Amino acid sequence: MAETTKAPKTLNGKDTFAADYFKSDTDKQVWLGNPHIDNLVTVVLALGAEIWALKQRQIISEKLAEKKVFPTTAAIEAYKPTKAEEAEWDAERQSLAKRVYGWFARETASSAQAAK
Amino acid sequence: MNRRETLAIAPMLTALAIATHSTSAAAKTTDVKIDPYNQTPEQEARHAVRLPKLDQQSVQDFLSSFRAAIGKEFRPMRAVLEKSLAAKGLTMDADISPEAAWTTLMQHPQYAMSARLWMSTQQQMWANIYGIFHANAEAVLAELEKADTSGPGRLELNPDLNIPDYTRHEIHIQPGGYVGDPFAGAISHYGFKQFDRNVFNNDRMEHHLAMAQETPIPADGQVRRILDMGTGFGAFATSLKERFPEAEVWGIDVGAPMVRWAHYRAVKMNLDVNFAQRLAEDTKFPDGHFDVVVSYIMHHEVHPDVQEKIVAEAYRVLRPGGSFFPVDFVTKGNPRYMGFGDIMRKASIWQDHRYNNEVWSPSYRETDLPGLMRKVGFTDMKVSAKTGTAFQDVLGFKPA
Repeated sequence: MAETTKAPKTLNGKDTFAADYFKSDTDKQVWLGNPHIDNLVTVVLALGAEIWALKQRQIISEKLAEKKVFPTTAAIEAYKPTKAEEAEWDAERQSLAKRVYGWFARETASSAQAAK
Repeated sequence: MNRRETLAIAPMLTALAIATHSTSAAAKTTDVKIDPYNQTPEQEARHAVRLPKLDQQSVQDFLSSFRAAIGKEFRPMRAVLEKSLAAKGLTMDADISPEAAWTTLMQHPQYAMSARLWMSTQQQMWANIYGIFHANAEAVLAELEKADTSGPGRLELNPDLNIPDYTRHEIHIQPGGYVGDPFAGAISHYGFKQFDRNVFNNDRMEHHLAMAQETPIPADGQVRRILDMGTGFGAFATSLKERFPEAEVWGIDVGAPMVRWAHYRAVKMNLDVNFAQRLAEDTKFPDGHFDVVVSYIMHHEVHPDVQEKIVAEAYRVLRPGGSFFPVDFVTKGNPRYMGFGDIMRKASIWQDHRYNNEVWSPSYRETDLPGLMRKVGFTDMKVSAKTGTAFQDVLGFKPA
C-alpha cells in the first residue's frame, strides 16, 4: 500500500482545501544501475532546459533588434511569437535534443551484451 | 498576453468573441462555431497556456519538445529489441505479463535510458511548475480566495466530502495528486500542456475546444444544461460554455484544489460556468437534470468497482433523449481494442501504470465501457477511436 502523506490544511494562514494523499514511490526508483547515474541524467536534462531558456532570450533579443526595438527585459517578456516562429523553435529544441542527447542512444557492444 | 499575470489568460471584460454562430429555430439553442486551429487573437489570448515568466515557460517548452523527441530519437528500434529478445529465447508476442515485459526490456541499456529520460522530463516538469506556484503561495492563495466568491459562475466546495481512497493517488506522479496539493489545479493545467504534447498541440486549448465542438447533442437540439464529470482544471467545461453560451454548465471534481482553479480560470475568462466538489458516482443533481453529460480522461483514473456507478449516475441525471459522451482511452468493447498487445506495448503500459502512477489504467482498459453503458440503458450507441490517438469516443443516448 502506498504511503499516506498529510496534506497541509493551511498555508500562510489560508485554507488550502487539500486532503491527505498516497505518495508515489517513483522518485525512489533506480533504472540505470546506480542512483547517481539516474540523477546525472536528470541533471543534464535540467541543464539543457536552462541552456534553452538562455538561447530563447537571445533569439528574441535578436528578433527585437531586427525590428529596431531595444531588448529590455520587459520587451523580451512581452514578445509574442508568430505561429511560424513557435514551430521553428520547437524544431530547434528537438534538434538540440538530438544533437546533444543523441549520445544516450548510442548502440554499444556492451548494450548488445547486456541484453543477453 | 501579459506574462506577469499569475494566470496568463487575459481577463475578458468584453463579450465573447464569436467567430460565427447559428441558432436552431426549433430548439433555440445557440451553437457557436469556433475553429480551434484558427482562433482569433482574442480567442488565442483567452486560451493560451503560458507560465508567468519567459524563462519558466522556456524550461517547460524544452522539456515538452524533448519529450516529443524521445520516441523518435531515443527509444530503441523495434528490430533492435526483437534481436535482444531473440537472444533470450523470446519473441515480441511472447505471452508474458506487462511487468515481466517491462523487466525484460529494461535489461536493454538503450531502452532503460529512454525510460529514464521520459521519467526525468515528467519529474522535472512537475517539479518546476510546483516550484513556481509554491514560491508564490501567499499571493496565489490570496487570488484564489478572492475568486472563490467572484462570478460570473459559482464555486461550491465541500469540506465534509468523504474523499474515496481510490482518488488519493499521485496520478501522473503529480505532486500531491488531484486532492493533496493546494495548487493541484494550476499544476495540472500547466502540466497537461506537456502531457498533451505527445498527442496533439494544446497550446491554446485546441484539443478541448475541438472536443467541445464535436460533442454530440440530443436529437431535438436542446442544450440547456451540461455536466462535465471529473472536470479537472475545467477546460472541457469552459469550452462547452463557449460553444453553448446560453447553457448552464457544471464541472464537478473530487479535488477541491482542482475545482478552485477551474473556477478561478473561468472567472478570469469571464465565463459563467459553475464548479463543484462532488463525486461522479454521486453527483447530487436531480434526476433528468441535464441535456448533455461528458467526461474527458476521467474513467481511467477510476476504481473498477466504481465505473458502473458513474455510468448509471450519468444515465440518472440525463433527461430523456440526453447524450452521454465520455472521452478516454480505448477499452474492451471497442472493435479497435487490442488488449495489452506485444511486449513493447505491455512494457509501456506497465511503466505508465507502475511508475507514472496510473493506478487504475490497466483495469480500466479491461472494462467494457460501451457494454456498461448499454447495461444501464443507453441506446443508439456509437463507439469510435480517434485517428492517430489512443482515445475513443463513446456516445450513448437516454431513450427519449
